[in-house]
Amino acid sequence: MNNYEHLSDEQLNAFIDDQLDSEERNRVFLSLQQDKELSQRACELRKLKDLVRHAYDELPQPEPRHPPRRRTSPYFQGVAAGLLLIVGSVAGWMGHLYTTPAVTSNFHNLTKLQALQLDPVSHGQKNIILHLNSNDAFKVATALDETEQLLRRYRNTGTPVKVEIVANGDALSLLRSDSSPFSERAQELVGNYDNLSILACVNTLKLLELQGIDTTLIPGVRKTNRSALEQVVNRLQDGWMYIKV
Amino acid sequence: MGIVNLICRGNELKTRMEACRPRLYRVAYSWCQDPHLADDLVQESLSKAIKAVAKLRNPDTLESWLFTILSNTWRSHLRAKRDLVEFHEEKYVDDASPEQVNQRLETVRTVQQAISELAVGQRQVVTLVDLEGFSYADVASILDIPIGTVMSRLCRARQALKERLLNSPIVDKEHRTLVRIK
Repeated sequence: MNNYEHLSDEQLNAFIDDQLDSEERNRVFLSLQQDKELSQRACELRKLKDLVRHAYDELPQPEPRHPPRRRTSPYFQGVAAGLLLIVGSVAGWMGHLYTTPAVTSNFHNLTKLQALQLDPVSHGQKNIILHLNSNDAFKVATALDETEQLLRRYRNTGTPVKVEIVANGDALSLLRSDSSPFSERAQELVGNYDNLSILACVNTLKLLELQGIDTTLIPGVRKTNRSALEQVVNRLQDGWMYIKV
Repeated sequence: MGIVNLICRGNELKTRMEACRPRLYRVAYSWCQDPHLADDLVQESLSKAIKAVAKLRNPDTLESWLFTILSNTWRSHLRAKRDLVEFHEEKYVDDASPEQVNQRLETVRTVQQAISELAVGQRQVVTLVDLEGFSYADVASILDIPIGTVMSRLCRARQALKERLLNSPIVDKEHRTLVRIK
């Protein structure tokens, strides 16, 4: 007696879906071999299953959207904001500690030069770079006066000091032999103090040459190896004091 | 160590959840036939899952747990829009345009249309079994219904699909086309 007649649709589905145990599966296989109609039904179910799978192989994708905003509780938002504030404050303070003294404390005006003249001993070794970028003759004259006083005082007290005067831009007219009112003064200073250098920006000189301007420098004035700006930056990195005239 | 393990476990589960997104989307799409809605359903389900991940006692059941959440989210959506039943033109229009007829001739669209016309419960069962390969027991767990109900719904769903697809002259024609291509 064949038992395939007793197979229900549920059983046949379970067979197709591999939900039967070994014994039941064998029973269904036997029935399928003996009953063409049952075999046909199984084929149809298999075909339906394949059709369903095939229908969702390739899906339309939704248009991209902005990433969803995660909702966090106000408590965590408060904690996060607090942490951010603390981190920001610490970072700011650390930044202040590490950057401000290294850079901004080295930036001074001529008043600082005067202050240095008053008490050379307590300040010890000094390396100072003066930056000229203006053709204001009064300012430059003052700077030269202050520099000379400083050099003299330091020499008298035996305190080592190095001063570098760097000129670029409009200030270069004050170092050119054909236009400088300080030609003799500069020569005298450089001759008297070997710890003083007066440098003209090489880039500005090149620009002037391109314009056909005579770039002969007054005696004692040298050209920088790099631009005046690079010279200033390098000196600052080496710990020199920067004074903008 | 306990806290570290807990964090690692949470991260691993979240990674697995994200990896499951395409599967969730496929099933969600098969239920609603709308890419945007499917995407919303998946997104909402994953958000719920992430919030409730601590409640998942057995990580091995993560996948079926996600589909349970998806099913609940889908049902919530259906309940919410109960009063706003959309009018499916294709369902009622007989004098279809040549364009629509052409679209119906595509096997994929025909099958998807047939599935979309199944009752929600049948649709869920047949897609979870056929697309995701879940066992009947898993489907029963996901949908929170007896396993006998799973079997009967699946049986009715396939019977309906057979009538719509295998007995349809359009699909028969399409099947002949497919055979010829092969």
